[in-house]
Amino acid sequence: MSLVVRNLVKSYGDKVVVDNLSFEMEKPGVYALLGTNGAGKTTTIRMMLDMLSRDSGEVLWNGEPLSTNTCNVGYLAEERGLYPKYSLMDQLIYFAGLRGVSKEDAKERIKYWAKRLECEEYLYPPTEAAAPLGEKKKRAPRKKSFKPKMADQLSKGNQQKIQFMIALISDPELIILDEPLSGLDPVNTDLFKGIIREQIAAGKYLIMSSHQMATVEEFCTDITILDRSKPVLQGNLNEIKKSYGRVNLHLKTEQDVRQIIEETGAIVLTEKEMEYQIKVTGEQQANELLANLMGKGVTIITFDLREPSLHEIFVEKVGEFHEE
Amino acid sequence: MKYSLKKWVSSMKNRKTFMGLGKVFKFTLWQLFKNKGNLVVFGILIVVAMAAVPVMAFLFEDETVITQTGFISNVMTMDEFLHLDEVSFDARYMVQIFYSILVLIVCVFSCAYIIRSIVEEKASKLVETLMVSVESEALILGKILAVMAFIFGMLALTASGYGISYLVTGMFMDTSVIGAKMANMGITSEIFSLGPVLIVIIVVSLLLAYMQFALIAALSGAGCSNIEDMEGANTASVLLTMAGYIVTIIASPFGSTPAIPLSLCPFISAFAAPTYYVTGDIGIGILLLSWAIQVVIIAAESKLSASLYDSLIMYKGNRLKLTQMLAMAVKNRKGVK
Repeated sequence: MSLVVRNLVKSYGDKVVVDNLSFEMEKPGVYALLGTNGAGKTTTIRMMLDMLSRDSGEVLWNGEPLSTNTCNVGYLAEERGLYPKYSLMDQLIYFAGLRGVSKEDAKERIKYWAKRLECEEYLYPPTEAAAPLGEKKKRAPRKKSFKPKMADQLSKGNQQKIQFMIALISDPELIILDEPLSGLDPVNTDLFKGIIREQIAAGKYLIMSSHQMATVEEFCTDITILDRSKPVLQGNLNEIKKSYGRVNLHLKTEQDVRQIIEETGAIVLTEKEMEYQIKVTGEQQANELLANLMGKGVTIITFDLREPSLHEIFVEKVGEFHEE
Repeated sequence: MKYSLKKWVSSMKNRKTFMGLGKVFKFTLWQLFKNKGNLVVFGILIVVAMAAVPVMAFLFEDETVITQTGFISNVMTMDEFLHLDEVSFDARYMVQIFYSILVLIVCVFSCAYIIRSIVEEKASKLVETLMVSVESEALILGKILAVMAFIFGMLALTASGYGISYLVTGMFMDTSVIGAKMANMGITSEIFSLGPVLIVIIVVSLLLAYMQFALIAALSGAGCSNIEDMEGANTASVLLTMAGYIVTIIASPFGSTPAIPLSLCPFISAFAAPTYYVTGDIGIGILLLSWAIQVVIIAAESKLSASLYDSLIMYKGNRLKLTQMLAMAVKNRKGVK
């Protein structure tokens, strides 16, 4: 299977909102669409899913135009919503039906995902706890019948769980997640991340758009950075990082070493209680600094030479583009 | 023509435009029936329909109805006599007002439901999630059909309630007074014999009227982005429906003279044509021509809608005017889909 996006262009009047964007996914994994606000990420996704007409370009899935008929797609939109006054179960079964899942299968899958996303209490009546061993089960007091929950009775995070469930209910082969983790608390963020990892392991194709660089970096293999409708950087994340070289040094010591660092020619970016973020020209300068520090008997707690983070690459690339 | 039809059929096949329509229809209909407000309205209508006959029979129990006998004392020329309307003014007025009110109620109720349903979906930010699985045409047509089923179901049940009540009441009370009262208004069994042909004419006419106004309402609703705009969209479609209604009512005192132009005039024909047919002012030929014009209008509306729904459904901003919609439709023809 493969996904090919070729020469997508979209404009509103004179304003070009997506300018000749192309990328490919030849094997399962996560492709990240990154960009500044209004760069054209969501418009690209909408064009890919045939929701918006495009001025030119094509999107192919296994060589055929991508549509919900040629590919089982799961989509978590950036603008998330549910019917506020309809029961959650009705909505889930409806969306599953629209994706071609039978009612019986949908019920099974809803049960699975409700458990997995820890939101059973909104969909099912509470199960009666079993009586402790050796005790007779007491007659339960008369309970009010279970009223199915409406979407507007749920918190934003819990609504997001239901929407994530909708995206995954058809067991899609291509999953498009637009800002999947925005607005989630740390516990639910981990829950979502766990599910995303499972989907990757299951060989799914994921396209993720996000502003949370650390999250994207955790999952993605390939990226496109968009700025003002144009792709400014594209390719395999590891290759991109390698091309930048190991120029970021995190140093933590027990003595003040600022002078030694500056003598080596490296630049201190930030300093806080003998913890330094340093920019070096490469591995040679870093080794030189290490030798100097050791020669002067400095106690080193952390010496971490690394490639730039995606966040740093993003800021640098977008900054460069703006300067142009 | 042949090529264009072939192209259209092939594009329908490729896009599977109406895939998911059934699911949208079922879900919308189910939610309409689950809505407590709708159920209350439904209940009240059936109760009123069932109670109407016994209440009328009870109220007019002691009243002696004197049916009008046709003594005409007017002096008129032979020419005037020959051109005299066969149907009395009262009868025509009653038939026109009854049918027009029926169309008005059906269209106003339906338009409000359709607009609310579309705007709610847009305001709830659900549209994108839905459009992954279903084309915008299927989404909106599913709603139109569901509302149609709901409203026509409601009408059919109300009419059945009235019919059952008439039969049951007739077993215990004298219901002939109701028929006599109607005959006094000029609505006799000769004019209004509810045979299968008339039922078919009424149903087809109602369906055509519904589709014309429902498609306008759907376009109007799709041009809104939030609940606040809903009222404006509703007003626009209600005004169009009211215009058809008012013209028909105003025209009724003029007898058979405006029958043909009104029966062929778009939108007004939805109100006028079947009543003029019932009163004998137009023949079956004009009625069929009127239906054909209405079908063309529906087809034109559908074509316009099809080129607009995709853009409108994703549109966010102030409520769009018709001119802006048309500009959008023209622009959309240039896009790749």
